Amino acid sequence: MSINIDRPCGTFDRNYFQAKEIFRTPLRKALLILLLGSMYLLPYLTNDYGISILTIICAYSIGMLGLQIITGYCGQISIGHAAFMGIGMYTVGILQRHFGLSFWACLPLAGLVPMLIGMLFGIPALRIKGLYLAFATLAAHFVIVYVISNWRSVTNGTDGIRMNRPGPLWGIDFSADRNYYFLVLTATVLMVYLATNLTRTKLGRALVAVRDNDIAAEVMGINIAHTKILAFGIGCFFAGIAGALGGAYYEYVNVEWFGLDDSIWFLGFLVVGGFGSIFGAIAGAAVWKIMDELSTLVTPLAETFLGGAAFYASAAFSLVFYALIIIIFLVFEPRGIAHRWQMIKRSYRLHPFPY
Amino acid sequence: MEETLNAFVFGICNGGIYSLLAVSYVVIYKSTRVFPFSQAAVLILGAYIMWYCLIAWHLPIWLGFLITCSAGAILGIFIERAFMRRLVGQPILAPIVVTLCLMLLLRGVGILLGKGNIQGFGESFLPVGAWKIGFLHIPEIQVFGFVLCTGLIGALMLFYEKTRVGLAMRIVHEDHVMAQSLGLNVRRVFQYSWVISCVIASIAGMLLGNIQGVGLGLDANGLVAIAAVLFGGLESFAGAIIAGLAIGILQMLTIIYIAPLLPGETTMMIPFILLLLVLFLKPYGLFGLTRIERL
Amino acid sequence: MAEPLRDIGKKREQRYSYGLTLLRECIEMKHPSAHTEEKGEDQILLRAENICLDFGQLRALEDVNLEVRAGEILAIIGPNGAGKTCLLNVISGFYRAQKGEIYFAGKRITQSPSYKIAELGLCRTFQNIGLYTGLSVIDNIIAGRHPHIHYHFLAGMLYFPWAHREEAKQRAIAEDIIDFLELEQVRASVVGNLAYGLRKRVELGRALALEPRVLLLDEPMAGMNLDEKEDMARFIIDINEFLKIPIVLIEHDMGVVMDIADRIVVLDFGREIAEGSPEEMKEDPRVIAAYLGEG
Repeated sequence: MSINIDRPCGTFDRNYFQAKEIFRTPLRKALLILLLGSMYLLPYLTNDYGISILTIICAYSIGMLGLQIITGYCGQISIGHAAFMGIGMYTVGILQRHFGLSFWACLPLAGLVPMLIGMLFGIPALRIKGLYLAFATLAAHFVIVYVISNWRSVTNGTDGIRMNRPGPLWGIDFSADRNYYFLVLTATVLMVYLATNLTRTKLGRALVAVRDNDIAAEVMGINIAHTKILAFGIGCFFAGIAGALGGAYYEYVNVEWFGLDDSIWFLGFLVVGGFGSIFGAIAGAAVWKIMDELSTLVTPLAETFLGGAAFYASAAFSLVFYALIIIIFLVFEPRGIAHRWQMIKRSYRLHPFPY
Repeated sequence: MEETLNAFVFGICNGGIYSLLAVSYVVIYKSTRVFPFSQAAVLILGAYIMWYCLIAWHLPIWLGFLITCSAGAILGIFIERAFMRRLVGQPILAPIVVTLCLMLLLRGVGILLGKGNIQGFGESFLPVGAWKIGFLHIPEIQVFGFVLCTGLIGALMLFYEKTRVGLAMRIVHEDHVMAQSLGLNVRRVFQYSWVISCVIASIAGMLLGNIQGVGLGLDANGLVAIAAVLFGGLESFAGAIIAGLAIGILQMLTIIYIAPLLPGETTMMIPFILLLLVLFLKPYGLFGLTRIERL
Repeated sequence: MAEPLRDIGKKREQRYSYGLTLLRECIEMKHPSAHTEEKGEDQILLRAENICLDFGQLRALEDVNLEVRAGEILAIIGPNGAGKTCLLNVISGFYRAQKGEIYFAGKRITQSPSYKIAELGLCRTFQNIGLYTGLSVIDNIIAGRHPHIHYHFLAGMLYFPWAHREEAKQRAIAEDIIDFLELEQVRASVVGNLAYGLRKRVELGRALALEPRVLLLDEPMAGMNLDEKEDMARFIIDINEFLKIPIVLIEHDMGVVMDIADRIVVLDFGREIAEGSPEEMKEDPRVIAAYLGEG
């Protein structure tokens, strides 16, 4: 991971700083700037509907990055990720409603509160080796949803809380969707930057070491309990930020939005995107949102075909269809879209040789 | 006092079904080392199929029972053949995600089967009525359910102890590689475990559908059974049985003592708090095995 | 020509180093008085006293004493199942012995967790290679440096300049080790794809990266042909002479043991049956009966 194996032809490193660079040649740096620029220009090309999709993809990407750190890099299975996203959303909502804090003040807390709560649930499970984090997060999910649904005085129960978009900053009004998209995009770029750096540093290597061979890692000087707890904490931090940004887009947050299904889809679409890479996390988030949009198209189709039975078809559609896609990916392409993309790039580069 | 005793008895009867579910999880986990989250949804399918047999098609009870068990068996064979078999050799994450997605897939199939409605059984197929023993008020339906569960678990334990196939399964529980080197067909044992587990889960679904009404909320029982499995130890049948009973009793006591104190639906949440406590205090469960790793 | 260690990474030009000079500087910076010029008997670096290890009813080690003196190469030999790897596991903290004490450089490490023991300088390799299969060779070696890398993870995430420089410094030290072990060709390959002999060398490199004060090698030459064995023996002798650290070797190849070991300890069925120089061991009747055989 500290070596960039995917180096363009003809470039040689003269010192270790160059060896660690991800964008090695001037051409690649230019392409990166072009990509970022085009992402900022996209909202001018689409209508509000397109902007909403892009914003939610960005918010989901941040959440997926968090899960990628926990599961893809550190190998711990977390089935409660949507619940921590919900805690992030609710933190902002509660602070705005009861204390009147501005969005900017709430945002770091939206990351910290899920992190602390996550670590509270994660610590008993991470001291021991095995799948126990999966069960602990499953339990955490139910407990969190229960607390949020029933603590009416603070969270307004199942009625949800209205959230406010951030106040104007430097004259930019965020109640306009386009401006809010720029904010979310900037946050996503920042989070991707943080996550990529994480993989290149000492903690990133420790995460992969714990995933690959935790027995050996312990004997080789890595405190695996500490590493796992840290990974889980960082992942939940990302989830909380994702929740805050997504919730502020809809200006409303409700506990019904994050059920056990969503936690499982997080994990499943991370598999579809690909484990162990940043691109995989973003690809998984994009696929998820696109699937969501496709499933909203099913309802009118179902009504024409099935008549009165349509109302349950769309509910079943998302369950059956997403699950099938995830399972098919796991069986046939377990390393996900990211790996497939690497293969395509490689075949293009090596054409006409097979490998 | 009366209430508590009543709760105890009620809880044991409920706990019988939880034990059955917990055993269905442990059967697969011991053989394949994959935790089958999907069994929570097989419940729903079992309940719906029984409902169809009895209410929609008006078949006799024994035929409905037979059809449900066969459907469970076919489902088990299908899941193992189509999905689990292809995941051999992949890291532990892959089967877990597949079982989780299967849980949701089967839930979706359940919605389609039930046409989105949550419905009661109409007429129960088990005797409805209650016995009064002193101050105890025991519904017959629960007792029959409990007796059926005990019978099933007893039959399963006999199967493991006395038959050759059971012996082969017990060897696979210990070590896959060793079993294979002894000439046992480990894949077939995996298939048997899945079939047994799905049949048991369908029967449990049948009973629960009768008691609680056929609908999508049944998989909450499956998830509570997960808490039972962890409480008893992931690899222990005795633990699963005892923990199932304990959780049944705990739920009933919750209804009496804790539910008045806390708002909302506490009966489904308290077992998970128990799960977290178990992870804190005795992570391997009551009867679980701590594995010694080789370096 | 030699650039001091603390300046590495400050400039963008790289220095060239031969052998393990960088590593030796790291060790000397931390423990200036650790090495002596002669192999003194009075300098005992690692001492294990009366170790008793049970697995349930199975007694793996019984009353084993081990002393590692400064600068020596100690070989532990014995038939399979004698408890040699168990002894190393107990010393490195992976198993907890039921009885016995372990002292390392005067500190009592019997109850310390394994990662603290590794930080102190007690590093080991594994019999069945325990590399991080997802990382490349050089990443494995830098991962071995983990306890000695000092920047906070937040600084790493924000990639502050001092984190950059620290990474470059660690890379230089890892390249130093790669030069020594002649692994330059495979530096960027993922270890899962490497041949067995190369993987053993990477393991040795990772153990070296931990700045060992005592090195424990578990069958470093298992499964190698004559050339590879000679290479490995050369590496071991070079490490012993250049870094001046004692090396404990578990080995089955008697030729290698007799050639490079200063002292031999023989284990059989968990007990220590003999200890002494190679010449003494060749004549000792108990050792011949248990392990070497007649002739």
